[in-house]
Amino acid sequence: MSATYVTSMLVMAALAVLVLVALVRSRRWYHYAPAPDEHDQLPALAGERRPPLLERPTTWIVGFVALMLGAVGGVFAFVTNPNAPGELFSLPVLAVGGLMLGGYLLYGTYSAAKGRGHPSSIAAAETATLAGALFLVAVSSQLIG
Amino acid sequence: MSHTKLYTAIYVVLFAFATLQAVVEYAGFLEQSYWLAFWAIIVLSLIKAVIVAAYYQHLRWEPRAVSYLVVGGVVAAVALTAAASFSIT
Amino acid sequence: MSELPPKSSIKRWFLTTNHKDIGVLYLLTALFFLVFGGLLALLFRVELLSPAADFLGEGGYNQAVSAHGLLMVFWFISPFAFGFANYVVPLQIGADDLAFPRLNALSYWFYLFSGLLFGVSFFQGQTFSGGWTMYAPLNTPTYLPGEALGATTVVLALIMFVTAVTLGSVNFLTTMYRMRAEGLRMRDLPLFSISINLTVWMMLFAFAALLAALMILTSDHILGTHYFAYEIGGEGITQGANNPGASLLWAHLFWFFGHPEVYIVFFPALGIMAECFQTFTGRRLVGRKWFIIAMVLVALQSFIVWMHHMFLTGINLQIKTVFMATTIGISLPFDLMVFSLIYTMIKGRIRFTTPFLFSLGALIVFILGGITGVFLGAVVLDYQFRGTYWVVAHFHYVMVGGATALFGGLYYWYPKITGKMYDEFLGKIHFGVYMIGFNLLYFPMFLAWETPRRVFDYGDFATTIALGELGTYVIPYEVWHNASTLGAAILGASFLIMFYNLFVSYWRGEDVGDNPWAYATSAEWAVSSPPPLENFHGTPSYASGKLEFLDDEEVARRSSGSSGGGHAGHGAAATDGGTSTDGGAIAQAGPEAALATGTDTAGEHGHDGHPDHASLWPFIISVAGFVLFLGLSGIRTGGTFYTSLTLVGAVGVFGSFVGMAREPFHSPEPLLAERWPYGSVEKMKLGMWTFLASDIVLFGAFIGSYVFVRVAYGWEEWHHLIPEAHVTMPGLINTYLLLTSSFAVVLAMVAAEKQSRKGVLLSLGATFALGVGFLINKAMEWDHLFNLHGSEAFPHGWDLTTNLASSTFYLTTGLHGAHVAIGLIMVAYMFTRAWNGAYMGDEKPIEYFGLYWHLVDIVWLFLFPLFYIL
Repeated sequence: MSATYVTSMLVMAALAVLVLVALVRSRRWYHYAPAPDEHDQLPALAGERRPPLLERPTTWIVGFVALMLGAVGGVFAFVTNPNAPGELFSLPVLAVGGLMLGGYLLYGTYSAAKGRGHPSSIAAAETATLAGALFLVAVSSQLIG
Repeated sequence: MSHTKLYTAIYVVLFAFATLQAVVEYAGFLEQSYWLAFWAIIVLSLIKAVIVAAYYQHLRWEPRAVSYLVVGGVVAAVALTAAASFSIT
Repeated sequence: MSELPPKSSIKRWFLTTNHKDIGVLYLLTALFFLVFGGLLALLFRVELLSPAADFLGEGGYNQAVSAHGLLMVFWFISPFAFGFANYVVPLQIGADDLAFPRLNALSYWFYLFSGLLFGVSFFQGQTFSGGWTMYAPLNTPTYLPGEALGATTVVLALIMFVTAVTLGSVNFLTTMYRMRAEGLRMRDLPLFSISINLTVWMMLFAFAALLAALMILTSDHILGTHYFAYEIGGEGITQGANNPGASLLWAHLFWFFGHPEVYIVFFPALGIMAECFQTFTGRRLVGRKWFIIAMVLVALQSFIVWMHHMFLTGINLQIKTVFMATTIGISLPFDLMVFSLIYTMIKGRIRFTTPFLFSLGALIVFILGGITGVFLGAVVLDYQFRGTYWVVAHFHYVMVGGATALFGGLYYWYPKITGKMYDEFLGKIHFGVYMIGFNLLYFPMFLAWETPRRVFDYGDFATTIALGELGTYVIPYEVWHNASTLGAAILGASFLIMFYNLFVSYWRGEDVGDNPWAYATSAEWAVSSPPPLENFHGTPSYASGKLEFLDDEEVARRSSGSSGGGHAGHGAAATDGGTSTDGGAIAQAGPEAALATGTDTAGEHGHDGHPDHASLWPFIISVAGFVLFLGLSGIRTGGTFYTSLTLVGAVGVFGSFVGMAREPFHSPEPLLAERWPYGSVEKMKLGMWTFLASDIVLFGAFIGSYVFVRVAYGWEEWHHLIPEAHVTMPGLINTYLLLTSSFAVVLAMVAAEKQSRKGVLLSLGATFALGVGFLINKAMEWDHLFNLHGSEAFPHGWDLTTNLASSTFYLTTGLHGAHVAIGLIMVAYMFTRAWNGAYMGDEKPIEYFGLYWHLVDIVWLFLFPLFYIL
């Protein structure tokens, strides 16, 4: 039995390596020289006016870190306090938290796409794709276990 | 136009056939010989339907392709009904 | 609201009625549903890693399996094909757009919102969990978990989807018979367009049968009728069931639709395979004429094989034998088509591009699937195979084989749609990983064939290989199922390569010109990539034997000489479409309102003959429809929330349809076109007739359902189910009322021709009054029957839920009554417009309405004897 597993693992690994090698070798990445991207540079350095809060990458990075700390903190609090999990996971809290997270992801996707130069229709399509992905996560959690 | 007269005539014919159907029932033919009366009534309905389609819906004067389109739908529905009913006899 | 914003703005995509934009919307939305259905499959494939209930929760497996099937068959594969059809067919036939652009947009938005409704159903308790075939009585609330709220939503979502499909088939048929370029006979059309033509013919008739089944099922869910319940008034299936036809009724209705459906799914793929084979072998298809004939034969034969899905039900042996013969018969044209494709390869010079690889892969995989299907067509073999993984493997090989060709089409037309070339190497990688995943997923299902369908506990089945002296090997089915799950993951992962490739190529791909594929000869390759908004510069014409573009003068010259390229058939009362006979200045405006009423002609709103491309109404109607159907899903059980949703939705739908009818929208027919065989049937009339053909099948299926359950129950014993109080007279009166109102509509049409405003108003008024009389008479009759007192046999009255006869009576005549009511709304609208001076000299809108109204009358001519006399 274990021989079969090992063999199949080796075959899979070989296949994965083949695909990876092919992908890596398909693009002439070693000839690629990155051009400076005006959008990513801090506008202050480039001498421009400070852009609105939401357009600065810093805002999003800080926001993301805060969200992560909040999530980790919440899990920590839940795990260490078995006597009162109810309030922490009551429906309003979960709903609001979910909406905030979802809103963050959706708006972030949209403005990131716009920031990369995508026209608004395509940015909207990318946001809709993310919304679809979130929906699929929700459906999966509904069906599993 | 002469069409008004034709349409009126068709109306009278249709009215007559509808009454005929009711007469078939009231005269008790259904009790006497149910299936004969059944098919007589269905045929009467069919005649009425064809008259309405041919004259009021103008199929008599449209290209035949339109009639084939309609007949196609009728054949599909009748085939389904007949085959399904036969399958459980 | 007729100027389109640019493609970079979000607004454009909600307003557009252009076929290319709608094609893109269909393609993207369908790809989402591919991922959705695929995810569900991955979920239950994980469950199937071991034959125990260890991953998906209670009912999760059944929901995942059912939703996977429904989403893939309805919301992914056909819409994906129609994304291509929308984009490519008008280009291939030389048209500027479809015949009814706003209805096209409406089809898309209905499709999207029906999918959203399905998505919502997961969160209304449970979604539908009775299998994608929705067999009765498992599809009724009695057998569905909880309150069956989510299940009802799914059925309603399907109804919205079928509406989208029906509108689409009316649109495509009218387009292909009225808007072909000069010199392009039906047989000259590119093979993809021919395949789409046959697909929409099948759709027109097949989906009407499904609609009937779904409406009856909805009625069982919401109104409490008993078509699909075995025991009425008791619980569950019993020996003394007093509705013996229940589950066979569903089976017949569903499979009469279901078999043509699988060809509806496959034909576009076949068309794409033919196109790719031609382009990438550099030659015309071998036996092209016979290929087309074979496709036509399959389309016709697809309607006479459906009972091969029912070999293990209680149908009699004679009919099973007949359908076995017809099933063997339908495999023969397919053989011809397969050989045609193979010979084309042999006689051509092959270029192994990604689209060709996918088309070739599709062919190989389809051959395997097709052969295993022939096994299933033999009754005695089907006795073993039915309901096992043999069937599952078979249909995935053919259906996903079709999808393989569709992905080939995506690569094939990607340069045309985006103007960029995808990365060819990544495309080939995708193909390789795809084929490995595909076969690793589906081939083991043949080996594990004894696994029952829709069951995750596959127990102790094993494959035994006895090799004599070399020993006996026993391979438990777990091995095959695990291989399948791995294959599923690989297949899913391959799509990541495709999404990456197509997305990145959009930004960084090479620009392409008109025709990146040498030897592609259909008209879409003669224009820029992407094509301009109105497709062609000048008017395409094939009259000289090859494609040329004529200028306006030449078009005017040619079109005034003939009568619009159509053939004879000018009847006394029929008026020509006014296309070419206008002398080529401005084509007659096609009032393509959803209702059969006209809006303005070109002159009135001064658009100078420029077609319109934008309308928000399709989107608004779909939103309102979504709200309405969501409300309906819970109206039986859900209290005020759902009831108020229903009311808001109903008002919204009604109002937005009126809005769309009032909107001036100019979509001219071409002056110069091939129109055989509908030469003298103008656009709106042809659209109305195709819609009516579908309505005929719908009513036919309703009447057929009544006939069937009555035959199953016992035709003459049925009389015991009907109270004495149900007499003929109300029906007879209604017959006279409808006949007279039909006559009145005809008189209105004549009055409009004679430009008599008073005449039009009087006759339309009479039509309205008579129709109202019909409904009042019916209401009185129903009220009387609902409230029968002192009747021994029916102490609680005879209403919708009483027994089988009452269910069939009220639903069938009720559907007819609803058609009358809708007609009356249209008459009221037309009366108002006539009051304000419309229709003087233009009787066509009244004529089109009359076509509908006369059909309603004809249906009653059959309902009356069937439900009142016999």
